[in-house]
Amino acid sequence: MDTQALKGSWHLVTQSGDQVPLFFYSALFLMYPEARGLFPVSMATQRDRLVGALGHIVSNVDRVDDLVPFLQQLGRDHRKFSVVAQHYPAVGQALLATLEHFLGDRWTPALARDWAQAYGLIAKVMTEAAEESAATSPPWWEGEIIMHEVRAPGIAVIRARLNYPYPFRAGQSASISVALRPKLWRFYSFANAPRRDNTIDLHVRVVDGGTVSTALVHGAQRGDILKIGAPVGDRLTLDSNPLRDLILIAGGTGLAPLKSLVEQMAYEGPRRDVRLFVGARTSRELYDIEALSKLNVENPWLNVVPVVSRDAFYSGEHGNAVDVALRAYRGQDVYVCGSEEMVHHSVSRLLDAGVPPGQIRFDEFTSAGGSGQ
Amino acid sequence: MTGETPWAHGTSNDHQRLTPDRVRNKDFSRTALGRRGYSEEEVRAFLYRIADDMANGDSEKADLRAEVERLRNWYKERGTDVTSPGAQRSRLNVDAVNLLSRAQQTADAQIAEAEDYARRLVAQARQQYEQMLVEAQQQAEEAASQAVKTYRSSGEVQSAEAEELERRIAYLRTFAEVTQVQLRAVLEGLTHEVNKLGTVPDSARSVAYSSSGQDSA
Repeated sequence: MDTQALKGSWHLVTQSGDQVPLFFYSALFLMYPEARGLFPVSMATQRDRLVGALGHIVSNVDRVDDLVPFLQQLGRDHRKFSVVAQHYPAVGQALLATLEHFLGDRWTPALARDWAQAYGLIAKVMTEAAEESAATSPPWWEGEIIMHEVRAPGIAVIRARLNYPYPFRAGQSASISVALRPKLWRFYSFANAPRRDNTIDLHVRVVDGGTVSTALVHGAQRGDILKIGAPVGDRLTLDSNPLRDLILIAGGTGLAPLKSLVEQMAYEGPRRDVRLFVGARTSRELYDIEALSKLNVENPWLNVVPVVSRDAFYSGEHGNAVDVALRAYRGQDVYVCGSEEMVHHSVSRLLDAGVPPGQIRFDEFTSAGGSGQ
Repeated sequence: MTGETPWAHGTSNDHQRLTPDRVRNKDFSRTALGRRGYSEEEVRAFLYRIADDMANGDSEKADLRAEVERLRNWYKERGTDVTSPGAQRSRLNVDAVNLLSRAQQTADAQIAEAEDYARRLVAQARQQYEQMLVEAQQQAEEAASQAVKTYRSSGEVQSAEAEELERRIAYLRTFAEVTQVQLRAVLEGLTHEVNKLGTVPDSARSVAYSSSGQDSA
């Protein structure tokens, strides 16, 4: 396989921008109309993701060690979109037709063979990983909502009971889909440590105009079924080696994974000192303060500090949670979770204050960790 | 907000679909006197533009569907071995691909426009809500300091506890009064909406059904 020819031709094709994925999907749907049902109505973000994933694959085509885990994850991940082995040849045909269309005279039989061979390998790795995970887990879990509380304007706490055992670690997240918005998936962190009754808690804030978050907070109700993908992520899980004291800084519903860490430590027994700083704009948005106060009272190793940034009439701590947290910094490991803006601000404040980068844990905001198909 | 974005539903019929007609006839509740709100004319004009866009999109999509169907049949009639990859590939007509692409773009643009509209609407609503609360708090704070001033100049025996009590009572009373006015406006609007739900005329129902029927034809 001539990897340089693959890279060069892909580079040429990408000059046509959005036209390329547009052509690809239209070709796919014309040849296999039944495939259209696997996708959401709007394809705008989907097209960007396709080009992003293909670009990543092509530019790493000669680094197999990096590429194979990426493809395996991609294959496992596509199970929740109801993609099965039979779909792969169809996608391959549409891809080759697209390349042929945009390359014109440059589409030689040799290049066609290289691409067909490369796609064959990609499909093989993805389908094998999907089949392997099919032996141990369902494509998605179904969770019946058994509690739905709107705790503050635009913030809901949701509890769902899953249909099969769901092994996850505190601090992980999963992509979630709600029947009101079919085929749209968004990542949410679990707000609890694994429980025997197979329930999970989600903290959801409405994103202005956000389709899934709005449906989850204002549309979903008890008895509705959520689809839940496999648990992912290790950025916010606990390390016990070395066992250092912790500072946890939450912004808004970024509290969820940090609360799950606190729960896990409460189950396993306290072996370290933990300070949880709960940031909110106003005191009304301290939506989980009741449960947190209870944890605070029950666990002497835990110290919960609510911090409010935009409420002149609040009697507790004022300002940004990170600034209040820094006053308590004595070399602990620091976990940060919140909006993208809050995380960026907090991490740069921590670095400025001299916290070693290796001791700051937060979720990366990348397109791969984003939402949807 | 929920159930108002028909594009997100695909084939599910759980919710009534939004039609151009329902967009044009959408009624909003009144804001309380003296409260800020959108210009009614601007909102109505905008709704009509959305409705027109929706209708144009629907007819364009129907034309496209027909076009695609014709093309598909044309190829079906001529195609022989549809299972072999070679035959599948030769069936691909670039005009058909482009037609489908344009339809998808139209759909994407409309969804984006609708989502943007929803985003701005929600943001505005939240700002308004936060401003109301801040105003109520401010007025209550002013009333509280006024009460303290009055208490101090009353000539009675002064104590810090009594002063704090006066302050709190005045704060809460004013806060309650200000928010009560807001709540009453909300309640009236809600009652109005609920009453309307009880008296949907049959003609409006049949219009909604016939236009959704067209949609799926």
